[in-house]
Amino acid sequence: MNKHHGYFAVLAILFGCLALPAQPVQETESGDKTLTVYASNSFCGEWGAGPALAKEFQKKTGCTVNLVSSGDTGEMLTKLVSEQNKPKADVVVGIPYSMAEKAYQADLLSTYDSPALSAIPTFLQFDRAHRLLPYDYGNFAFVYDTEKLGQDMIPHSLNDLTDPKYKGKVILIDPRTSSVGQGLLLWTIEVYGEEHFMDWWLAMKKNALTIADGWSSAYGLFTSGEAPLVISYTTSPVYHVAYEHTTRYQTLLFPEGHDTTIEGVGILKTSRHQELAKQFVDYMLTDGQRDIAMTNSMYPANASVALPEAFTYAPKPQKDLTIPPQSIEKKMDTWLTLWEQGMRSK
Amino acid sequence: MVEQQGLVCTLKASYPDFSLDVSFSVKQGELACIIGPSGCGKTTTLQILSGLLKPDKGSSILLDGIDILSLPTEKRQVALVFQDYALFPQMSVQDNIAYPLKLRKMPKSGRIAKVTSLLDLVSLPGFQKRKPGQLSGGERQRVALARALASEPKLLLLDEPLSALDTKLRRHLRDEIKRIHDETGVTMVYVTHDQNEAMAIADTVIVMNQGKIEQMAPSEELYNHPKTLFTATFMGDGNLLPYSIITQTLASEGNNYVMFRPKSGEQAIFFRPEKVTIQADEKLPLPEFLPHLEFKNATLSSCIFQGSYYQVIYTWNDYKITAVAEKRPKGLNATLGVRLIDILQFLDGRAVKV
Amino acid sequence: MKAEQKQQKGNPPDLAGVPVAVILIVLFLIPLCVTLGEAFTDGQGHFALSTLEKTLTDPTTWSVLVFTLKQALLSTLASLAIGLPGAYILANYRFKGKQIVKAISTVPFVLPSILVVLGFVIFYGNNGVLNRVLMALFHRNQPVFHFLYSLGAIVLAHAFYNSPIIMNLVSTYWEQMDCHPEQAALTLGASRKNVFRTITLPSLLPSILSACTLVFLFCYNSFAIILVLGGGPACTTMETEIYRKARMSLDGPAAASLALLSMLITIVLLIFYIVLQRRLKRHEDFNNRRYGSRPSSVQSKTLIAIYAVLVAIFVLGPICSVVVRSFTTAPSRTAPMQWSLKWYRQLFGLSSGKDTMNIAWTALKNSLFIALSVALISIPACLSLASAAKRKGWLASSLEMLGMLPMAVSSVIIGLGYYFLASRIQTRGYVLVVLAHLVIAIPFALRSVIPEARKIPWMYVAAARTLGANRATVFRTIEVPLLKNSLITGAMFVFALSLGELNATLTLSDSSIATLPIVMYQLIGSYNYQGACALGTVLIISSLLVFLISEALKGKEHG
Repeated sequence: MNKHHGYFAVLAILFGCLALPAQPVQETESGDKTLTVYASNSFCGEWGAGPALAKEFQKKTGCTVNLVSSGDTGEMLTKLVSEQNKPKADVVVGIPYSMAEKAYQADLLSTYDSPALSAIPTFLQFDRAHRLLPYDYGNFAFVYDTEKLGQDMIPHSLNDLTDPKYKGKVILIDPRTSSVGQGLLLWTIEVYGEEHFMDWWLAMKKNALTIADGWSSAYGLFTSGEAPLVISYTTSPVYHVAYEHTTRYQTLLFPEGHDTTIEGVGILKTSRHQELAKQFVDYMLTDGQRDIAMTNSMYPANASVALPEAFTYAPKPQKDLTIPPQSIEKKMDTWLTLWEQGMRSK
Repeated sequence: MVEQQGLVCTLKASYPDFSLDVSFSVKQGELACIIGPSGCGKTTTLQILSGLLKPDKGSSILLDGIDILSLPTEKRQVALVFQDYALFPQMSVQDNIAYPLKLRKMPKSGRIAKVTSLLDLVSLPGFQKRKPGQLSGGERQRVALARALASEPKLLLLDEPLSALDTKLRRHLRDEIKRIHDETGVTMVYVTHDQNEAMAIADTVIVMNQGKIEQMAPSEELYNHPKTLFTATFMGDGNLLPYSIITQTLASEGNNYVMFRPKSGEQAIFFRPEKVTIQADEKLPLPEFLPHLEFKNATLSSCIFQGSYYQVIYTWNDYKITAVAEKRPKGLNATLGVRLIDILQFLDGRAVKV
Repeated sequence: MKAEQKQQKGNPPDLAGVPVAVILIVLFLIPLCVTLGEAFTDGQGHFALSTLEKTLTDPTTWSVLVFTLKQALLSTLASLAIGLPGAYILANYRFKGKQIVKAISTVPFVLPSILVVLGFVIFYGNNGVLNRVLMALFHRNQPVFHFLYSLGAIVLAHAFYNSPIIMNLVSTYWEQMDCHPEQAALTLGASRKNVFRTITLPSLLPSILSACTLVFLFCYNSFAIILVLGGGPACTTMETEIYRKARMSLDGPAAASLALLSMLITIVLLIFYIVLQRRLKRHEDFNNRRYGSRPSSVQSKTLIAIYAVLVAIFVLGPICSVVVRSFTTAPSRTAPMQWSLKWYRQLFGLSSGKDTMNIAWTALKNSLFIALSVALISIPACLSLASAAKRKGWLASSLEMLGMLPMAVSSVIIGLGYYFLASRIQTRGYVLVVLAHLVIAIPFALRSVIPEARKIPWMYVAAARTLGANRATVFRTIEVPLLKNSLITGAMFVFALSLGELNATLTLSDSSIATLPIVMYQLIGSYNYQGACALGTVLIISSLLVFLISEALKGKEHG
């Protein structure tokens, strides 16, 4: 067998090299003063609130915040569930109330009745047990590209969108894979009722350029000019005004009302830094709200925070529509199955 | 002018390692052999004739009076049997041979009959259903031949068809090819490096060397009257000695024979082993009466049994002389003799008439 | 042949391949089985067949499967239609720059699919380069090509990815094919078209089939392309469905049962592929290779030129638009694009940008380090596996199957398997990532080395042994040098694949290790397309460099 001895020696050496402390870049050091925060891509991204929040918190407390971008909300939840035996996260940011039940069922979160909650309006506090604390909220709406859609083409309701003149012009999002898509689904159920919401979707089949798997790709396609209409948040234009100094993208308000979303932050039960985590949550709900207002393009939950000027481009809808979370949990699977069956058939 | 039937060609082509410049003709129905050492251009000639290679300007190929140089391979009616037979691997023997028949739109019954008759011709009756992988080398060669014949070519080229086979099979198949040639009357050009093969079956032999033709003639003429030193040494064995030894060995009985005495240039004499007389008994003179050369005190250096004769090699004054003997010579020393009329003279590689 | 078989029978089974097999089993087979084992549980972790039953009886399962097969078939046919003429040209004609064409043609294959998707949107999208050019040319207001986000787009993107593979594989085989039967057919009077139809094509068929099987397998398992370019639930494949069930619905057992069903088909395909590969004729006689000619007639020259231009646009278009996009920026959305190195500067931390961007430099170093490790380890691993697998016998066949198996498994499932592994094995993240890449990439290296190992005539080995060399020396001095070229090719594939690998790395490292594709993915997720383009350009250049270096390392082909 000596013909391979040389090669196995090489193999062994390489193995050893790898096992040695290699480039320690980007490796998580679970030191005493590090907080690992899981958040969605957009939160951790360039213009998300994450980096600014982390920096400020670090400055204030001296401990490091390890911000881990974990994809979409669904992916985040999967990660947390599969890591239950070997927990890495301390705090999770960005679970919307529509997906809250899932998190509760997996029993991931510990309760924390933060003192900051007193500044947050009660209608936003969707979790009585204080496992998920609200940090921002917003409405879903269609955003359009003023350069690609003339004034005569502007739709004024969900119904309008089904008109043949919008063929291939609307970017929708899959409710099975994205919380924004789910928001859109709930919106149609709120407007048309459980019996008829599929009619809207079936009518939209022709008009949808694509049903993207997530908000990132959908909005990316939109800003690349692929289509002039996309489902997003009412606050989306804020980013473009504040950072790109353009009013090119604007929100469409429909009189029938818009679905709302509330995003929550929670502390993992398995976290070894419960105290530090609580501090972080507190920070997020008080001083951190400024960053959230500036960068996250959602309304900060804390009512006492002054909104920057750019928020004038985020119109408030006349009607806020919601569905109680328990109903969502019970019926979501049925709705999704209905939706899937309807959309899959030719 | 009578249109000449058969093959008339002039081929010129240049390649990185050598250039080809040949001109020859083969009468219709003849079997011509091209022989020569490796790399002399034999295969290239065949490939040009079949159209697989393009020659340079100044070349021409006339087949039965028709200029085929301008025609693509598939229209020339020149069939080629490759050294590796090139049978179509996924087809049976039947389908291989019937391939050209199918091209000519022969109906199935006709094809079956023709294939059967061709297989009989090549002595492979009943082989229709076999696949090339199941055949031996000799069988494959015959199927390739049958396939080529099926296309009823005006010219049949064979590229060293027997070189991959063992000696006995080679001899047998060589005769088979000759027989098939005689039965069908197809004009054939046969390439080989084995001069015995060529001598055995060819009507004329073309000797090639480095892209040029050394000599073209029937085998007896090539053997007995080679025009160049190359031809002489290539066709069969022989003894090549410098001209100068004539003065040392000329035995002058009844000598009115005039030897050619050139003034300058490289001179050599050449004679075949079977023309050498051996006198092994020192006491007796050489039994040779016509003018001859005598090599006295030649020493036997080797004696190789060849079945019907012995090949004996003697050393004389540091020269090696090969001769042929019926019996093993007695004793080490002998006197060798060769008649002057059996000696060929060469000046600068070309034969000199005496 | 018979003597060789006798010789091999006498030898003891080659144990050299066993350590690598062990690695494959531990790193791949076991996590795979555990993940798939979930199919046999219900939600609570008890053994049950109910999930499987539910999956198998659900009509959507079958409609998804049918669609998967359909898109894979159409994609394969499209790749064939585009790639085969290219194979013909490469095999039968001589022209300058052939090596460059071959090098470029391998690039699409190693690009991570997110980059392909990006390139496609930028190039073929409604607001893409092609449409803008055409709209300007024909003075139209509406985009001319709007087939993106549909089955057509999927087929096209797959063809982009895979037609170069067909072109490469088939042309290599074609070049070495014995040209004598074709010449013989010509002399028998067959026209060139006839020769192609009756002689060339039947001989070429096994290699075409084997290339198509490979491409079918890739398209079947394709993920990112389907997800983004498909346009919605109507275009759901098994892979995206598994992904959705595993990551979104958090329904592990359902995902696993789908994966099980899906794998049954891919394993059949894999076996078919391996069998086909063994049937491919060994071309040892280099004297019979075809000698390419220059295209002669005007007709053939124009056809070749048209084909070349169309294919160049098709293949190079998306790639180039990504590269070009990375060098442009607009001060604001409405201003025209200008040339700028802004993204590169940001990426490499040379100018102040957001913090996430500056890790690109680190990501590059990480990626190169990982890829290099994987490539180096792959060489002895490949060697061991190949020399064990080239023999006959059940052990050899199962080793070969094991080595090729990762190709048949859904990358999402591989990712999940690694997730499981990561939570059990305590080790530095890098080790697992390197080994995971090795397992994923080894089938491709094997595909290059095993046929070459099989080609080595046993006579060489026998001759060397009669000269006094023992088995080890023979291996070292005779077999390894003969395999040098294929080993380099294999290592190069491994390097490039590791460079572009996303799924397993993402799952395994949970973003604590940044590699180029991961950062790209994050950039795209933050809709920073331009930054992603810049990174993509870095990836493309790295791949090209790797190819050129490996070509330089390879010696001449042994005669």
